[in-house]
Amino acid sequence: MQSIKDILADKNRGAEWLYQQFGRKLLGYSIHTYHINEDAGWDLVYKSIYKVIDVSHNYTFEDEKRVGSFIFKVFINYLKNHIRDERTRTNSAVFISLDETRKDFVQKPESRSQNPKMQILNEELSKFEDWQRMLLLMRSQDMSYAEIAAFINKPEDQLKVYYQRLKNKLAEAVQKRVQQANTSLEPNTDTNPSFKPM
Amino acid sequence: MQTNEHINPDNLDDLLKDAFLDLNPDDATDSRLMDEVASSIYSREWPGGQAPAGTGKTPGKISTIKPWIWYLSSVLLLAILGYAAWAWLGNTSHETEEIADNTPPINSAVNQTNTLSSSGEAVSATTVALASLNQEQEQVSKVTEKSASNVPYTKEKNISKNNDTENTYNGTGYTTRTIIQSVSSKDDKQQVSNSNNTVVTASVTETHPTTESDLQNQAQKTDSMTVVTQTVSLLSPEELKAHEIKLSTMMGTMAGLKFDDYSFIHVDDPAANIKTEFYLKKYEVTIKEYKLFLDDLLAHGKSKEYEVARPKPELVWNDPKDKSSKKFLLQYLQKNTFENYPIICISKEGMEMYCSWIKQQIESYYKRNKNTISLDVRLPYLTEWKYAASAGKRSHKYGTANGRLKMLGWRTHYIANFAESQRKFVALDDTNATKPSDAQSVRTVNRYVFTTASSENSAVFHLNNMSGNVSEVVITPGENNVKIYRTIGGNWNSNKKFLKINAEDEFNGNISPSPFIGFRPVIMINK
Repeated sequence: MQSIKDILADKNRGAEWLYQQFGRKLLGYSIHTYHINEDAGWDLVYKSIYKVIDVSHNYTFEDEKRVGSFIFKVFINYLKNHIRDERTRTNSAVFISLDETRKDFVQKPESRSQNPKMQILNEELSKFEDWQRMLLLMRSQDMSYAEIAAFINKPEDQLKVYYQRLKNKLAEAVQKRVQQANTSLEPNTDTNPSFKPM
Repeated sequence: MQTNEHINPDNLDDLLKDAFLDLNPDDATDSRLMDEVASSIYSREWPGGQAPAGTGKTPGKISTIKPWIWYLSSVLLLAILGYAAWAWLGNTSHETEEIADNTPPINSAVNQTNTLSSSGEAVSATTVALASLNQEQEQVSKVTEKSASNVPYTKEKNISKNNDTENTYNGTGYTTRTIIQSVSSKDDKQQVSNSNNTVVTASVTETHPTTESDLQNQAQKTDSMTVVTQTVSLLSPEELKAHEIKLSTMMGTMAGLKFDDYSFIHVDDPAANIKTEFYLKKYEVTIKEYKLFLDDLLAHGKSKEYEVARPKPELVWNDPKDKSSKKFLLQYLQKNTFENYPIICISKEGMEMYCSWIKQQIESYYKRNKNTISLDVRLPYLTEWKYAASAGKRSHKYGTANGRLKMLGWRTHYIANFAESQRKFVALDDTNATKPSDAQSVRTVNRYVFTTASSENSAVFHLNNMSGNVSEVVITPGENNVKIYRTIGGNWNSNKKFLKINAEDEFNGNISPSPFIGFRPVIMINK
C-alpha cells in the first residue's frame, strides 16, 4: 500500500485521491453551510486540491486525517476570501477618505477582520472560556451536541442549555458594544454651530 | 460604525459562521477546533455536492490543463480568424469567383446572345432580357432558355449586388447566404429585343429544378411582371459535402428497413379487429436530425420551404412574461452540445415537411439501388401513439417502462421529465453533458429543462420520453379527411396529469412554435 506521501507525489493521482476523499464533502459543506453557488464551490474545491498538491512536498502527513485537516484549512481560507469578495461586490460602495485608509493601514496592518461588527464579536468571543467559544463555533458548523460533548468534555444533556445561554449572553454583549459604537459616532450637536439654539 | 440591525440570538448564527472562518490555523486551540470540525464534515453525508459521473467535475490532469486551455484558445482564435478572412474574401471576390467557376456557360451564353443580337429576330425558345432593377443604377443581363425537352430549364446569368439578399435568422443557427432574385418586366423585354447592345457581365448560377414546386417557385407570373427566383445551393461547397456525408450515413442506417432509430410495433387485437404494424421513432426528432433536413432544403435552394420549416424561437422569446428565454433558446438551438435534444419551436407545417422529406429520402435511396418501396411517413395517429406508449397494456397510465412516473422501490427517482421531476431527472441525464457546465446550465438557466431525446425512459417498445420532455404532436382524422392536430404526452413544464396516456390536450390543439412541443414520425410500409 502506498504512503500518502507517495500518492501526493504523483500530482494527477494525488489530485484524484484528494477529490475522492475530501472534495465532494467540502463542496457539500460549503453549499449547505455557507450557501455559496455550486460552481463557485467547485472552483474553491479545485483550488484547494491543487494548492495542497503544490505545497504537499513541504509537509509530512502522518495519516489521512492530517491531510483532511490540512485541506480543510486551505479550503476555509479560500472560502473566507470568496465570501468577502462576494459581499464586497454586492454591497454598495463606501467612500473613505485617503487619510483614513492610511491611518488604518498604519495602525492596524494585521487586522484580519474587515467588518467592525465581526471585530466586536471576535473580541467578545475571546472573553469566553475556551469550551464556551468552541461550543458556539462548533454549533455554527452544525455539529451535533454528541460530537461537541465528546470534544469539550462536557455532559451532552447539558450542552443545549449552555448553548442557548451563551448565545443570549453573546448577543447581548455584541448588541451593547454596537450601540456604544453607534452612539460615539453620532455628531455632537453642542459643538456644531448650525444646531445651536438662537 | 452605523448599523440599525438588532443583534439577537437568532441572527447570531450567521455571525458565528463568519467568526469560524476567522479562526487562526496557527493558533493551537483554533487549529484543534478546525481539525474537529473537519472530521465532523468528512463523516457527514451532504445533500449536495455529489457530482454525477461524466459531468467532468472531477479534477483534470494537472499536466494537461494549461496546454488544453491553450489548445482550445488557439483553435478558437484560428477559427475566428479563418471565418473573418473567409467572409472578407467572400465579399470582395464574390463576382470574380462565380464567373471563374462558371466560365463555359458564360461563354456559351455570350455567343448565344451575340448570335441572337446579330440576327435581330424575335426569339421563341430563347429570350434575352435586360432588366433594369434600379432606374439609375445597374443593368442586369439575363438569358433564359428552355431546354430541348419540355422540362423548363432555366439558366440565368445575372449580376447585381442589389439582387443578392442575405437573410440571417437570429436564433436558428442557420443562414441563408444568397437568394438571388431578378425581376424583369415585360416592358424591359421589349426594350431588349429592340436593342443590339446587350451587356453580359454576369455571374452565373444554374438552376436544375427537380420538382414541380421548384418550377412554380422559379417562375411566378403576374400581370405586370415576371419574377424569376433562382434556386441556388445556399450551402458552401464544404458544407454541402459534409451534408451529403451526413445524409448518406443516415440513409445507410435506414436502408434495408433496419430503421435503427425506429421501433417496430405490431398490433394484433382480434377483439377490436385491429391488425396493423408500423415503425415509430424511438425518440423525439432531435436538433441534429432536423438540422440535416434544413441543410438539405438549403442545399437545394428551397429558401421558402426553409423559412417555413426553420425553428422560430423569436416567436417565443418575445413573450413579456418570459424575458429570460432568449438566451437559453439561442444556446439550445445553436450549440452542438444540445444536438441530441429534441427540436422545438417549429410549426406543424415544418413537422409535416420533415416527414415528407424522410419519405422522399428513403424512396430515392431505394430508387438509386434499383428497388422500389411504397411507404408513408407522417405524424402518428393518436391511437397509434397511445398503443405504443402503453405497450398495449391498459394498466399503463404513463408512457414509461413500467407505466408509472417512478421506478418501483422506496424513494426512487422519477423516470419522466416533467415539472416536478426536473432536478432529479436532469441529474440522471448528466452523463450526456459534454462539458462541466452543461448539466448545470440546463438545470438552472432560465427554467428551461430538457433531457436528451434518447434518455433512459424506455417503455416496452424501446420508446423514449413518450411521457414528458416535450409534448408530441399527433393527428386524429376528422371529417372529410381533415387532419386535426393535438399534442399528447406532456412536457418538461407540465403538471403530471398531462403526462397520462389518456390526458387531454394541454394546448387545446394550438400547435404553434413552442419550447414545449416536439414530434416523432411514424413510418408505415405499404404492402
